[in-house]
Amino acid sequence: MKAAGHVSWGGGGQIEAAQRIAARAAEAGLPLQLHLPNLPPLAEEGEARRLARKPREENPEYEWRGDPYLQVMDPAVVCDLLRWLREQCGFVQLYDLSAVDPAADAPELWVVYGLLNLAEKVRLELRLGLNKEHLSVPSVVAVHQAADWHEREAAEMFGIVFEGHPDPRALLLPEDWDGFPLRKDYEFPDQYQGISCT
Amino acid sequence: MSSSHPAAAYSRAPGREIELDVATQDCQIHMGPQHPATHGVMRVLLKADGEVLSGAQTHLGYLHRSAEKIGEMVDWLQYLPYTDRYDYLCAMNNNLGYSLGVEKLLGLEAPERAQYLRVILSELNRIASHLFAVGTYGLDLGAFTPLFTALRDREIVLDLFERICGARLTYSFIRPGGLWNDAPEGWLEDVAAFLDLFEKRWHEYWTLVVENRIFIERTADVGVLSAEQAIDWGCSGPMLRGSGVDWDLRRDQPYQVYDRLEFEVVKGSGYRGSVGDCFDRTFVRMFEMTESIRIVRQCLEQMEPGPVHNPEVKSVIRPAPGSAYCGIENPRGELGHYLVSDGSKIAVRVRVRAPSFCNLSVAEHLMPGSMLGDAAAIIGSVDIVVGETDR
Amino acid sequence: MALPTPPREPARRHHYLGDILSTIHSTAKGMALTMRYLWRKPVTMDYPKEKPVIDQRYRGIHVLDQQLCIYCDLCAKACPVDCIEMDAVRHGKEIEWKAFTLDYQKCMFCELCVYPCPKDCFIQGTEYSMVSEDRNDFVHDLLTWKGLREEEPS
Repeated sequence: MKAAGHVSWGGGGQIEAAQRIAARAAEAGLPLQLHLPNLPPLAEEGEARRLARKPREENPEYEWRGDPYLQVMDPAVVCDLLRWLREQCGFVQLYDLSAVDPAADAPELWVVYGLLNLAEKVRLELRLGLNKEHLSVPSVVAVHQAADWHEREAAEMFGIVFEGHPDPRALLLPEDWDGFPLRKDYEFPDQYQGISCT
Repeated sequence: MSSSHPAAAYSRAPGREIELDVATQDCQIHMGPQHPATHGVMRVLLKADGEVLSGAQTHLGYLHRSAEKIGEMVDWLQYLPYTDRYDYLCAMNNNLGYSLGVEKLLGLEAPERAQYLRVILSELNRIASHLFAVGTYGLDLGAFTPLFTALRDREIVLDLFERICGARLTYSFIRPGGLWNDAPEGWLEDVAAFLDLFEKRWHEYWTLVVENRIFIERTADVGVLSAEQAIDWGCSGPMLRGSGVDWDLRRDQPYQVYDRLEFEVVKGSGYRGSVGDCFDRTFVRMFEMTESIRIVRQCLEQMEPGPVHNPEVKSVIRPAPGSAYCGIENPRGELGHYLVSDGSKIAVRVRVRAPSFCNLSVAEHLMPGSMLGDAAAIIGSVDIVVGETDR
Repeated sequence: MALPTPPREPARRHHYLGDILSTIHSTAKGMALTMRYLWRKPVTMDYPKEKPVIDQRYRGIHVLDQQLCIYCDLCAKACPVDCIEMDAVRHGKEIEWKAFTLDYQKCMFCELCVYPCPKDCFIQGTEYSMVSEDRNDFVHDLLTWKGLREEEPS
């Protein structure tokens, strides 16, 4: 039957894992900062649940809900960090690598690394803030082969330069596509190579 | 041929080495964009040295429909029909993955009956999808009969889906908060009847495809993917389990009611060749179908009447700000949705971690060193849906 | 027959003669299975002559009951692809309809437009056949559209 604290969305154990890794990283002197959701994952019955549904202005207490993540404070160390996580902490699979543009006027893009520990059955999310003026981050293909296509996709969709990527061609878009479609300030083109896009 | 040739580095089972004495000029062959083995519009640029492949390069993007950008332009609920369209062979699973992600952001769960029905629907869809995968894989290797036999049984599943949700391929039925509708009268009995029928028919596929000597010769020891490689390349689903890795999200990170159900995680064991070859991937798919039968039967037993939709999830969804990743086990592997919300009724980011996308990225590295004719066998064994690799 | 479980041990490897025998054996087994179907009833349907049975929940071409409709625009707002357009003039409680068009070139039959309807007057019917040589025919005016079924040759 259902275990206590089980929620039906899968995952689980992520907060504990993130806390553990953050503590170990602090010991090892790695620039990781822990961010925990300060809303309970499953809003309980009663007052807490009602609060959670109120708009932000009425309820300044809460910030966000969802998965915990570890903020990487220095983009230069991302390769070493992933290698450390892989070798010391057992996060052997990079299941996802993507980027997020939070808003058109936001100063930073996020690069999100999703790591999976097959032995302990937990996930870890790393987030890296990149200034939009200088979108450059070391490629992690040398550590995780899985990053290959994900980085190519993020590069063409967001204009991030992954330094040291072995094959930095466009993946899904044509080579001569203008602009970076998943950026919030992207303007839809009227035509491509004389073909109307509207 | 020198030992530095990529083909020379490729190891095969003893007794089946390719003779690499004669080096010829490399020849480039375009496989696709319209090729029956690519299961969609995808191009593979093969470099062949005589009959032996020395390189391969995959070109994607022919079916790119910018699903992730559309996710940033429509409501949370309005995005639901678009999820059907990335992996159109298992749209129920895609609906489920997206709905679970939204529910995670909302902090709400679906009622219990809805969760059971969701498991039934996604397992039936897994059967349908694996049937199609096994059937078309037979077609890729030159056998025509298995496809039609497989489509006959898949049609029964589609008929069941048509009765519960009204569509045969793009269901949009599992929504955040539950389901649109309860099962119609007599539907669950028909599901049980289908399972009984399919249990008998399963042996036909075993005889027609997996026990077939030609099939074994074409797939055993071809495209061997080691467990380390599979993990490193981000593979998931039958691709990962075929390589002998014991990993299934349904058991290891159970979502919905999977933690109450008993089933076995099928792994590739080198039944006809070495662990992680094309045969093992099909082997895993075959036995996942029987496990799905087992799961659906348990669900039918445990299910109780009740509501199928959580009334707190309205039609205009405004999740709290935050980000959530929700991964589920699709027939093809781990389908992940990374959703970012800023508290408004439109998502900031809908990232789709598509299983075919990650699984396909390894295919071009399996090809060097194999025979030209095996290219179709390798791509077919990955079981890609191009709608999903390109999104 | 019990539900098969995955075998734990690798299958027996054949040698030269065994390979030949196993090839003959598996081919004969497969052909026997195929031949068994030769005398069975076909599972396919002779489509244009026979019509499939369509279930009540089928999401086909939309049907509008314009007597009930209150021109609330909820269906158009729910549509992900904005394919519904309506135009009417209100005279107190009376509604004078000008147009209620649905563009089936865009529509993806997701049924999201049907659920928010407060009067249940806008549903997806059981008709599925829509054939034309002109793209403009797929923009239906649901006020005047009577369905295709009658026009089809029987």
